[in-house]
Amino acid sequence: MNIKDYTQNKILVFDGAMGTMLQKNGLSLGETPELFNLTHPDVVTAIHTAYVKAGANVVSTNTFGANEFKLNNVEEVIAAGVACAKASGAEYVALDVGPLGQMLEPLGTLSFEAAYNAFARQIKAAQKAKADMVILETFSDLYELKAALLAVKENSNLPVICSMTYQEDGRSFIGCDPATMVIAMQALGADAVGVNCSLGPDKLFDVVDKILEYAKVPVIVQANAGLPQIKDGQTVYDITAQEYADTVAKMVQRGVEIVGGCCGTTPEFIKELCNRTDGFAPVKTSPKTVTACTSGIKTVVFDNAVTEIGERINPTGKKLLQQALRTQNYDFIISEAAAQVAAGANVLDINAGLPELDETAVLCEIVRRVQSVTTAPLQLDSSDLAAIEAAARIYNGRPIINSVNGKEESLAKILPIAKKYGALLVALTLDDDGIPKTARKRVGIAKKIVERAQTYGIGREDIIVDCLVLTASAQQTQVMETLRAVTLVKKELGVKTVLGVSNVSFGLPVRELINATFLTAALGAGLDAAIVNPSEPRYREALDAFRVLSAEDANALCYSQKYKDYKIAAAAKPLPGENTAEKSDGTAGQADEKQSLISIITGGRKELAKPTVEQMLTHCTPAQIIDECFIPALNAVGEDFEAGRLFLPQLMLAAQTVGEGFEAVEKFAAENNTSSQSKGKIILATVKGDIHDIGKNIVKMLLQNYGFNVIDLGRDVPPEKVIEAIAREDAVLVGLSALMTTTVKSMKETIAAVKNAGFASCKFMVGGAVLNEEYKDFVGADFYAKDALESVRIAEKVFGLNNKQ
Amino acid sequence: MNKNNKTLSDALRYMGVKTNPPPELLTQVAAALDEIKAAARPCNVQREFEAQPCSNGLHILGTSLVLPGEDIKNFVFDKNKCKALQNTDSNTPKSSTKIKIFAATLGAGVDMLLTRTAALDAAQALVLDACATALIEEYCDTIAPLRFSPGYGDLPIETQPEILNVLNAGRAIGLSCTQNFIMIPRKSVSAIALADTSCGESLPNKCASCTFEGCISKLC
Repeated sequence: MNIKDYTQNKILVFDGAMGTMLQKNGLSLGETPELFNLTHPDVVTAIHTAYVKAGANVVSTNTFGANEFKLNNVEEVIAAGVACAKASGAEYVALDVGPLGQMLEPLGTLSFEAAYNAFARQIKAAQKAKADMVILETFSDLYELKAALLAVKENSNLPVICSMTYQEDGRSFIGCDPATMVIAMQALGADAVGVNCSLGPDKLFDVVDKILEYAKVPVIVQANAGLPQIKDGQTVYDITAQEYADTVAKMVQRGVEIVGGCCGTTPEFIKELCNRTDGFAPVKTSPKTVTACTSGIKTVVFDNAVTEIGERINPTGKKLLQQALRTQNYDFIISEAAAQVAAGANVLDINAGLPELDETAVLCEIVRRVQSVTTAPLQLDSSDLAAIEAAARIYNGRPIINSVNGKEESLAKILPIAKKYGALLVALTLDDDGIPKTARKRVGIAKKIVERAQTYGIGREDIIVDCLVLTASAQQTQVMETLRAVTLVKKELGVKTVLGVSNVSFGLPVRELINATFLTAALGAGLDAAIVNPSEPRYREALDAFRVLSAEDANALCYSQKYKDYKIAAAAKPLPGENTAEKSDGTAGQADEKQSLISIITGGRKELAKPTVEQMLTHCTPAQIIDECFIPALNAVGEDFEAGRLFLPQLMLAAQTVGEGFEAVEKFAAENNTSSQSKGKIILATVKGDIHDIGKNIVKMLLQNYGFNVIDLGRDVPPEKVIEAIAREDAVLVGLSALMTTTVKSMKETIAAVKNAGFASCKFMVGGAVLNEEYKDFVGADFYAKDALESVRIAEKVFGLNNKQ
Repeated sequence: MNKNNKTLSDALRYMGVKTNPPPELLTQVAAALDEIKAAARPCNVQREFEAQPCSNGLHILGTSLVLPGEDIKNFVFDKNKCKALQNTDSNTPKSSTKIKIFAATLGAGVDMLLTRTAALDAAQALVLDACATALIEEYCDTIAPLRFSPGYGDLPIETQPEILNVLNAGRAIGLSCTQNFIMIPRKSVSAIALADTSCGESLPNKCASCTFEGCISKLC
């Protein structure tokens, strides 16, 4: 069976609803429909037969939820389901696969690989039972659909249809829009894409039009019979078979080639549909060819607009990020990601290349974390093949791979990965002889890459050529050659272009100025995408201004709004001695100064903490500031909190203010090569099965701002991970949180596992809404922390500190 | 008190603020509530059933679902809680009554906002989380002000997947639950209510039927 061949001349007709029909034939609500394949095969076959008689070319098996999360006997139920469908005499049998009913990370707790494995079981069973194709339908999470599609591609040779469900606002429950689904899934190798369930067909025209706009593979529509209503305890739908067929026929005239029905449709609907579309020849569409990457929710098209690719998540030359990567401080990385997106980045480059790290593991972890907090698509940046492949696999959407180049080895290894995972590719114009000096030769390498990619089925629209920026200080005459190459590759090869702009200024003063000037020139030469720091003011100004000149910012609306009251900042740094912070007048005693910092903290005035501490560090030691200001201030706030005079949000604000102060102290310590003192190391985790981590996060923040070093393992943390962290960090105190009575047992298991692993002296403090002293004893913990402040007191006790006067 | 004020005061209560919050905090919470409202796509699925008491709980007629325990039976049949039921004449327990089962959610957008904020600013995450909780409760009040959810009293939280299944909540509103019975999206509620929602208004204190000690959200 080849779907594209079939739909060359004919409309392919699927069947209608299975669940609706089963309920009419004795299935009661709450029962597992798929088990009817075993208990009532005759009923299931009769339904399939009715659809075949109505004119369906394909029947889909009664296996929507036949996965290991809903059934024990997946293989048996699928084999029986395929047998029931085949017994109807249908032309083709499609294995029907719905979502697992378990949400993937980060919204839920199911890992991508666990989802993949569950789908793979279904697919292997279908292949064995000789189904003709697979239909993945009613998905609302692109990530889960990707896992399912990969499972089909890697475990069978069956054609596969990907179909999602959309709400009235044109997005899936998770927020994915139709264009994103089409672009990501057809790149990943779907044989057909489309929409099912959702709404009645009359409400789906916008969604279908969006799908047709981008789909180069056949498009399927299986709508509901309108909206469900309950009448006399039965679900009924508000659209008739006639209306349904009329509406779907209009979609066929727009280019839909596969039709069928979802909830509430019956053999009567399919019969009307066949009558109505009988003799229709498929309408050929003209889908757009675009260079586009996606996240799990949205698409970025490289088209008539400058695409900003944020460069900040790359440890090269960035000490703070290096340290964050070494200490697995992913919050730092997330805040970098969020800041870049807020500044204007459309795509984020992710690089985890530090020699001492396991790059595959770290790159994947960053991808997981970053894609959980931003909807910007990611560019996976590594020279490590295994890291690239692993990250492309677990990425939620269509990534950009950075990079391939003209070397034979690179082409042979990277192109198959890009093809398999449907990625866009950054192509560097260098080869075994290095970077050519002339623009002409760089175009030659780009041409070679484009042509080779074509032999793998990768179109030129999926390649973004990087003509490579050389430094003006070392190879001054090469700078303009790069720009000539940009113009030439666009003109001669019809590909999009990208440059890592900041390279140009190495070794020169006021690099921002050189960078922004070069960026402007590159944009003028036709550059489509720039890898930049979007928060850098000079870049920001250049990009926003260029968008006015290129007419991308129509009528300069964005620019006028944003720059209405803008003042171009002075480029020069303040001279030594000048300070933007309020000056201490010199007569004020140090005691007053300390009292003032304490007031800033207790008043939660975050913005004042850093400049004040920086000022004090000119004549106080870090230890003095911590012991004489931070701790007394926090203690004062803590006492007010305990007495009910102020509340948790205010306590947290004070702690955050101290956090700002600590940043200044740490920066000072780093500059003076003195390590900032940690009061002790504490591991925190929300236990396996629980994802309520807000309490744990509050505890973490307070502990950190009291000067403890916190290793946060996150939520849904299995016991092994806790053990591994204790061993690695040599920790003596662990804090565990659980919110639900059902996950308190996980706490007990975790503590037992740690003790069994030989860490008998490790102390545990526990907390969470349902916890109390009795539960503490039940789970085998040493301390119960009734609130976040109590956890600080416990930590002080364990580490033998007593700061309370 | 108007609706928005009640939602705000509920949010403050959820974050442990008991008396006289400072004006800056009130401003922060009001802004956070707006942020949550912008991220939320509230939707619900509901269905009416006849329910009948049985030896081990409450049987939902026309389905394979039995809600175990005494509390749910009392909730549905206890006349003291409902004026409408008090007007029925018989002294013998009613053989069945009409109930409504529903599930409601603020949607995945709120989860993403909360996850992102948690990584960036734990204090703001606390405020947003409390606002989201207040908002889903407010939304549920419009569906059924008096309701009983899995995890209350002796109705085990393990019934969660079965309830969602009977409502077809995955397809209908994109709501599922983890193997540890946590609903995803997080700010979601499933509950059983009397079909006649006017019954709830005669009950003075929603917290009366709850036995959880030390709850910071207790109304009195």
